[in-house]
Amino acid sequence: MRPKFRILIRVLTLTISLGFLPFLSQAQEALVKGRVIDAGTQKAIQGVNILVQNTNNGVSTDADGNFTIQSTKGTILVVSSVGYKPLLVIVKGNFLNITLNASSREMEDVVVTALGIKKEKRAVGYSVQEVKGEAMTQARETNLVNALAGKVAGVNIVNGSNSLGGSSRIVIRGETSLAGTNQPLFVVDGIPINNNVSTSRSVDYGNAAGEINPDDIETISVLKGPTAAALYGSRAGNGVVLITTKKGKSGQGIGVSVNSTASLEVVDIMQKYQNAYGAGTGGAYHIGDGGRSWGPPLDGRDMQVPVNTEYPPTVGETVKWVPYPNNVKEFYQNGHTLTNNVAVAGGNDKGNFRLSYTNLDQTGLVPNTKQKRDNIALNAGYKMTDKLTVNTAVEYIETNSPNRTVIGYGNQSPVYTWIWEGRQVRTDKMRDYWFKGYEGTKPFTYNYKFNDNPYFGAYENLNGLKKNRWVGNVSLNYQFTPELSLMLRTGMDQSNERHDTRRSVGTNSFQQGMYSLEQLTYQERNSDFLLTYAKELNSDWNFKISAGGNQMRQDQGSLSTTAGQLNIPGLYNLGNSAIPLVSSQVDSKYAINSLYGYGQVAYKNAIFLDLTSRNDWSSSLPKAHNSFFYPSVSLSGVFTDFLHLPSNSPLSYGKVRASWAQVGNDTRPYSLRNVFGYGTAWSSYQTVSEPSTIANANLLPEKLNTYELGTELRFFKNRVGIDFTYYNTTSKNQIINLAIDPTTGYSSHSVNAGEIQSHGYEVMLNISPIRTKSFLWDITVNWAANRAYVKALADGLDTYSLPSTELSVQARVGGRMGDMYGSTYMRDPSGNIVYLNGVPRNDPTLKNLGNYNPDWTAGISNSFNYKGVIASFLLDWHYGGSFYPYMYTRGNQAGQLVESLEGRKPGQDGIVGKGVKLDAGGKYVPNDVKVNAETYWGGYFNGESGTFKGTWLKLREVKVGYAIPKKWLKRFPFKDISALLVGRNLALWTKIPQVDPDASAMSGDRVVPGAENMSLPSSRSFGFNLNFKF
Amino acid sequence: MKKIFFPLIVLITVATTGCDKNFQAINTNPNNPEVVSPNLLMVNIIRGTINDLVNDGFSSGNVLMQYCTQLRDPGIDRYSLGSTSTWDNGYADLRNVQVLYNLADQGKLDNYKAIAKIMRVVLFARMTDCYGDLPYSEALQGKTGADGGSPVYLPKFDSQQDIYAGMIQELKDANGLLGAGKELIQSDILFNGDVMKWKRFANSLRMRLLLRRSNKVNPSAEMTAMLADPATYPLMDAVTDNAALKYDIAPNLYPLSGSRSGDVQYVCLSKAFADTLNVFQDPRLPLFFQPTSASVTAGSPIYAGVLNGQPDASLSGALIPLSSQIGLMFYKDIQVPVPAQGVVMLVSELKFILAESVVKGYITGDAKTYYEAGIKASMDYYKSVSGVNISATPAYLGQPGVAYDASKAMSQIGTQRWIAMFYNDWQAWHEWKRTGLPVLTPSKTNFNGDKIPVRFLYPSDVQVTDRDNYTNAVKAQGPDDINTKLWWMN
Repeated sequence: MRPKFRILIRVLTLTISLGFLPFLSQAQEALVKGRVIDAGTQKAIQGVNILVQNTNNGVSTDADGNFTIQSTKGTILVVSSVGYKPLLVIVKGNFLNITLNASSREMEDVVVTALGIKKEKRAVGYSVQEVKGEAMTQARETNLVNALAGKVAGVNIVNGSNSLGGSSRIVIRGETSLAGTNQPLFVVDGIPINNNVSTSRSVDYGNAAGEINPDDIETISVLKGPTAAALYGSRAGNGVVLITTKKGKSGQGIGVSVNSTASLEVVDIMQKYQNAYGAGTGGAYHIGDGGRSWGPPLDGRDMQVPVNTEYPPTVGETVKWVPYPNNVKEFYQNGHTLTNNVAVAGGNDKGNFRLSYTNLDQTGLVPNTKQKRDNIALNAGYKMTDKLTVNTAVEYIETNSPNRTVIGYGNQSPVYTWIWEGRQVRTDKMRDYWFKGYEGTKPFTYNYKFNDNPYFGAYENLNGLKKNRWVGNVSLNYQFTPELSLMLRTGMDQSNERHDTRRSVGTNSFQQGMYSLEQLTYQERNSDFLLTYAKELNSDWNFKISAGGNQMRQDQGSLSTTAGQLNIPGLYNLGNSAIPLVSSQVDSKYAINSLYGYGQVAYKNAIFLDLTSRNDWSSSLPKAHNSFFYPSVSLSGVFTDFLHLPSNSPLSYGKVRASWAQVGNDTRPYSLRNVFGYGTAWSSYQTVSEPSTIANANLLPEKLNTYELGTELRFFKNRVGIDFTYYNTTSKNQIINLAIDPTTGYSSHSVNAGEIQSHGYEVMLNISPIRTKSFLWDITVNWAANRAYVKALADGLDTYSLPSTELSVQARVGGRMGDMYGSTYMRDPSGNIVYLNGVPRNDPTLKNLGNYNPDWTAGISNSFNYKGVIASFLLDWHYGGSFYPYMYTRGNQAGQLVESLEGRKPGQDGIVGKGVKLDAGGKYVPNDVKVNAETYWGGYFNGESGTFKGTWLKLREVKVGYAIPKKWLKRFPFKDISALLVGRNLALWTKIPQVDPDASAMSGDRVVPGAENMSLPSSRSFGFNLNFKF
Repeated sequence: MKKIFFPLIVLITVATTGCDKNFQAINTNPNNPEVVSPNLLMVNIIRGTINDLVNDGFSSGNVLMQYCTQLRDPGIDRYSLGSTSTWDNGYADLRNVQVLYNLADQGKLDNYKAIAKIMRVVLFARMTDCYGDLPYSEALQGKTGADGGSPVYLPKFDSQQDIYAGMIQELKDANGLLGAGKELIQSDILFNGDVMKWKRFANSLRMRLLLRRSNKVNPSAEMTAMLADPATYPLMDAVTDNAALKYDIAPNLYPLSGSRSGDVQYVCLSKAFADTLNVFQDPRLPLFFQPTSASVTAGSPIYAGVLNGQPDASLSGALIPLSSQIGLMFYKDIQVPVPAQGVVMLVSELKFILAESVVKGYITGDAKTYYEAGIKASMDYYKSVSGVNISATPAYLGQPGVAYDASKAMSQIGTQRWIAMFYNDWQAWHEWKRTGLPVLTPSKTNFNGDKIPVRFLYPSDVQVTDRDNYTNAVKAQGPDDINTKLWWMN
């Protein structure tokens, strides 16, 4: 057994034994009683929460204000109730008389902020938005990130590929980094977790945070700006998604909850095909002609086409040349997803636990794609002594996906294969995919010289994923005095991932077959401590200071071995290689040490001043620059607390806030020195090559400065609430690979350069138009707009290219982040398109064709509750921006899509493009050259004609549910039963042709927004969710 | 408890901040070397360079020089030559060549140094013959300048005249550096460490360059001196001397093997080449191309080509069965090994260089002998590669059009050189630019005013990354246009 495994097992054993210990041992403590009264009225208060600090041991007062709790002398109790200022009380005798002061405000939401500190929302000096776990378990997405779509202002979610198990990209408040991924840090119970996107050979194996099980999530807090993230360090520069897992609650005995969802994904083919012409070029078809539908009209004439009884097809089978309009749709199938969760939770005054098991079983739209995922999560806490509490949370995730589909533009992808199959192709004839007599070696398809049979691809060429992952942490809390406490914690995210890529003998691009095994390991350990001192000086002044440190160690490895040809067809083992195996290995280590401090001063629980500071030491930067310090400050005030508003005042609550923060950032490991790269060996000769980028041994940390102003106002007794935020972020010293002239021998040079300035607005609006006893109606609107400008790049550089597909995404000085450049039509001085030989000419200079970021985004949610029947819907609206659907361009060049009929409709014999041409004398005269449709559409497309306004509106979610009233359940063992019908992605309104703009292209492991590249069909999903507790 | 916890905090603080020293170890790349020996660069340099020759030869060189024609997406036949990747690929290959040179120079390893010089010339020559002026003397200094000086980020463009002078000198130096008594050449996939073959190649390449600039610089003295001293200046002669890369098993297959059969079928035999080879009943034709599938089905196989530049309306799949596909020696199916080699320079070319040089009076000798030796060398080469027993029979050599006729010597040499240079990079194109031979009719449908282009456009990126030097080069050389003549052209 490997040492790391041994340590892990020890930790787990310890964790589990610590977790269960409380239920085996007997409580040693005495009962403490007490009574809580209102300081003003001197009357008893009912429902006051009494909690032993740092535990989940809590009770509430009865109608007479009395309570009984298991506790010992010296313990600190947290006493809190709606409308009162919370109080800390030390247990001294056996009976406690507690007096609470009324607060001049309504109940406040508590939100989880940086370092897991729970704060009343009023005390937070920056924008933070929370999503409850149940919002994600009802209308379930198999990728956690997608569940956030439309729910948080300023958070933009883009699907990578629509493929089963595929990745999603989340960008908070726009992009500020040129070379970085602009992805936020995901933190589970205080410990950062991995959110790497895993791709290999154009298969999207998903983003790691997508695997976290929503059933185990209590809340997700989105900390949007660097202010919120200043304490999480450099990796949090793009925001933090803070996940708090569910814990067992004390004093409620053992409860069991079951949550099941079954959903059906119905394939929704967006493409509109032409059905008038079959495969071929120049109006003719010949056996073996590939792909394009510029062949003869589908008029029922006799035609010889390949058939699977003759190899190689030379004579073929004579068929009637007719269209099969649904041939693409027939290939895809409906997807099924079944999710079951069972959780057992309980606790007493000494401890608590929650054990949860979830099973996900999913099949995709592409035949034979599927995945199973099991999540087992254990949360446990135990109060070892009066002062020492232990908490642990461990989640084990096992994913097994025997096959995922290849995405993008390449002949292993089913979408690609279909765009190059003619309209006369019979899908049913391809199901039996071997040539007779060549079973196992030669697959039959119509377009056999270019592509594979899509069924053969789906059933023979598998892309498997197996992944085991542990995410867990153990923490100790020690309360020295009521004021002083220490937390020690260590957490780990460890995974082993295996990709099996199989290519059958006879695959077009792998005639001799191929097998590749890729193994990825990932381990990140974070150990931290936090010492906190909190003191109420008097009834007006409170302060709290914390100091902490964190040690992060990351260890990644990838090992890939490929058998480039197979000896025995169908046997996928590295031993079966017909040629020498090709291996590659990349290991990397990365470490960050940090120290940080945090302080808050509160005045009358209404004005709050927060200060944070952090210093990071990163292993990836040169020794001279590897230490970087960054501070933050925020100030907020609930001004309505001082206004003594009359009770009929329309304004019921008002708060203003301002904050400023700085975050530093390092670079990837091993970026400082040049090393040689390995090339493919030639026989026994190994070879290396000099990389094209010149490394820089003197890199500095990147710096991000941000300030944020906001206000939160509520009116009409909180029936209307509005939260408004403005933020402004400037990032400097970005670490980029600066392009240099290739004649220097190199293509780029690593430098610190660039300045991106980003600002934006966020508005959250809550309205409760109807609030009666039997009917509730709530409206929530999230609206956000962001603009990020490129202020400077490096000296002498005005353009920096970002990962892109068909259009070039470029950062240009003065331009915006996300600007897309492409070719346009050449135009005469009056703006007419210039034609040459009947085909529009392209201007080779790349021009700005728009920006992939929407002008604004909005999520609009309405929810209704009528006597326990709930209904809600969520609209997700992206307004503006530009989008380039490659399917539209390529599908029409191929003559497959409906637009390509122009010029070959009945009575048409070509197209005379509208514009001008140069005559012999060099003058522009109207174009009068008629060309056939194939030539015209072949030359028509460029960046300009392929780019569309990116506005879309999607009916993201519709829910209808009913919870059986508790009184009806009294005779049954159930506590709660609720059922819910859920629809996701039910409707789309957009002018973007032929595709669903929800899906984007991918470039390597990067999702490229603003462009589609042979995305899989989108789907509507219909689900049934059943939830009961007993 | 306090007694335990406070020291613990101190310990953690020290642990988190104190292990700074480890950081350098943590950030030391465990995967890749910073220092290598020169032989490790050989495979990448030779394979990378020759793969470029083969890929560009198929996609562009063969079509421009009307060996082949495009039945679909006829960009080359229309003479819409976009900005090609030749520039970027060439300088990227040269980056590794420069590293090899520097390592050899530091280690006083003359043989590797000579190979670096030869490969520099192979790469620079094919680029300047395509583009004209380009960065040469100041190129490849992005990391360190010449003699350890500061890097040059904006290299100036040198004139083609200067580049040629430099390259010829480099080949002369390489020949002098190479020696059998010096270090062993390892990982040499081109000549298997044979110093003498490298010498023969260097000198033959020098002959090519001397003749190529002969419209501007008389090569007579230099050629004569070389031929007079074969001990110092050995030349390629035997079939084993050919500078052609024999490919290996996958993943080092002949580059065309990476293409799908559908893509290959749309580049078929051209009518111009078919007519020439059919008239001569050239035994190389069945190696270069296959009989048309229609004729095979009909039972009487023939080799037929399609006229370059069919109009759009005539380009259709219907042409495929009527035109000859590329020979099975070059392509069977995707990922299927074939015997074809990556040709850099063949003995036959040298013989035609000598034949032409005699005809033009640069050297003395018998033009007919050289001419026939060129044809024989070509036949022998294809015999050795394909295993098919072909030869330059007396009947072949004696037939009209082939039989040496001093009054048509240049035209005959041009035609035979064209045949022998099939699928050799853009070499036939360069020779056509220099001599106008063979006489070719421009593609039937083209967007270049019925002129066969003579150069490529500079990559558009250069206008951003090296603007001033680009502007100066255009001023000196003429417009950045596909019809602007190169310096060595007449």
